Amino acid sequence: MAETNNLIAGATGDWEIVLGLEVHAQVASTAKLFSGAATEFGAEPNSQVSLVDAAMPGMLPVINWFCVEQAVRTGLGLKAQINNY
Amino acid sequence: MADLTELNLAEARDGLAKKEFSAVELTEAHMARVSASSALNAYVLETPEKALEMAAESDKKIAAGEARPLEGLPIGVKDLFCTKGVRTTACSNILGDFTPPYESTVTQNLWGDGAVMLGKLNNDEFAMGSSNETSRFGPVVNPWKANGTELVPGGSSGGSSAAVAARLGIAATATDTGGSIRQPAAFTGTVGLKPTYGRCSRWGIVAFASSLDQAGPITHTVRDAAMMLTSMASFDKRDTTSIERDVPDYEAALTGDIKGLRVGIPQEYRVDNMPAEIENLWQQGIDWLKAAGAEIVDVSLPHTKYALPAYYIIAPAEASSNLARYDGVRYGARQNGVDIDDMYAQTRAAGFGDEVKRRVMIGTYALSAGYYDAYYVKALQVRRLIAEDFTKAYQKCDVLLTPTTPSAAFPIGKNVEDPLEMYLNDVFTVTVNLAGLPGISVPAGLDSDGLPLGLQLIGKAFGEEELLRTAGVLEEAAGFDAQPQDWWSA
Repeated sequence: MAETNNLIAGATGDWEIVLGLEVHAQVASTAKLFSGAATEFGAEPNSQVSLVDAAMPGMLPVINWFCVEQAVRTGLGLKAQINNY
Repeated sequence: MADLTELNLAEARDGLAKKEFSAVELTEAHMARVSASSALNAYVLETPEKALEMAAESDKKIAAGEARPLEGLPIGVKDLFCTKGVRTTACSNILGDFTPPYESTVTQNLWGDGAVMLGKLNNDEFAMGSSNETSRFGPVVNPWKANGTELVPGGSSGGSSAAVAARLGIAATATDTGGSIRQPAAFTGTVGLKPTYGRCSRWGIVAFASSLDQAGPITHTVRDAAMMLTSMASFDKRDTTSIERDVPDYEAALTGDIKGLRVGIPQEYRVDNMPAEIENLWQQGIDWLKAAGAEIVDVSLPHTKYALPAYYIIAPAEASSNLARYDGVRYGARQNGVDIDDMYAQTRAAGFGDEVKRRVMIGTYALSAGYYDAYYVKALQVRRLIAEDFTKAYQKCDVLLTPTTPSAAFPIGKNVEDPLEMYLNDVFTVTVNLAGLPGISVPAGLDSDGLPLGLQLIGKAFGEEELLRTAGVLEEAAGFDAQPQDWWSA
């Protein structure tokens, strides 16, 4: 259990303070997660929309493997367990 | 010169190679038949200029001695395949006059091998149907008639099957999600091949149920199916479910020798109320393969009875997700509304037909919180058991032989008001999609009304060579050479 110095008094008892962080970081990829379209900041409107992004009929998403690698590296960096499948 | 539309794909190829006729002559002969065939409603768009341009290019290639495998052979394309610069609608109103700026991988492979495009073929809306009656362009009429009654050509690839049977194209592309190649082939006396899931790229084919959809050909002969598959199949990095595997010359597999082949007969396919004619034809097929040197083995696929219910949860679930994109914003037909939500609703209400709405609603229900585990997850578990049934059966045999359908072609309108009766058409074919296996329907005989009946062979995953070889033997033994009487040519 947590140290007692994390407690503050409440009307019916003590409250324990528990903090969690949810960190959102953009993957340093030059292409989108499910298409080859570029992610460059400040480009002309609609110049970075692929057929997949526009959900054209018959288009299929393909995962960006660079992003998968970054996710695995992040997991390893956090000493998390990586499931192969 | 004999009628060039009487030729099958292999014969036409050989005739072109011997310069007995030109690709332009061959294409013109088919174009003339197509333009006189409006009574069948098989084509939803003819592309005569493109056809003649492609045929002229083929004649140049042939003259230069550079003929490609399908050089100069005119074919029809199911309207589910996106064709660059040529309207593609999946026969749904919601796509309006959508004209793709890209070409599907399968059709690109065919054009790259020299095939000539005659036009786009009718199908059930978004390939949802077993009779080609749900198309925005109206029903396709089967070239075969019984006692003067107009019949369905099967579905969803009804335009493809009718076009090949009526000789409005030497072959056609088609797609099969639950039987949509094999059932129409059986209803029209043609050969329909659904390859292993992953053999042909799905890129550029309008999606119905992504884990089940697979492209394949409808043709006159097994040899023609082998020729078409050799060109259609490829690995495509744009479709992560296509498999990186060499494409053999499937035609070379047609040795005619199946001595020692073990043919499994699944006892669960003897369904109630199956017409005696189909039962007898099945027995005939068993006898033909036995006479050719095959060994007949009884096998069991115990979960077969759960296949249709599982399919009619999985396929609509995937469809409801795949069809979410049709909102009237980026392409296709749009209905105006008072605000954006109303615009979506109006567009989808006007753009989708009844069967598509039915499946979107079933799918959305099956995937919704609270029902997901009871329906969708359960259906996936059943699917796994069905796939395992096949794995176990293939320990005892190499291919399976079954009827393709529980009946011959039925009259237009007969099952329109009864979706469940319509779904029963797929009882022998859906298991193959759920397991991702290859299957082929071969015309094997006529019923007492003079209508064609098909037998289905099911192979192991990527066992197309063995499957086609066996189908070739079955075709040879059946000697099916009946043709529909031409009542439709104007």
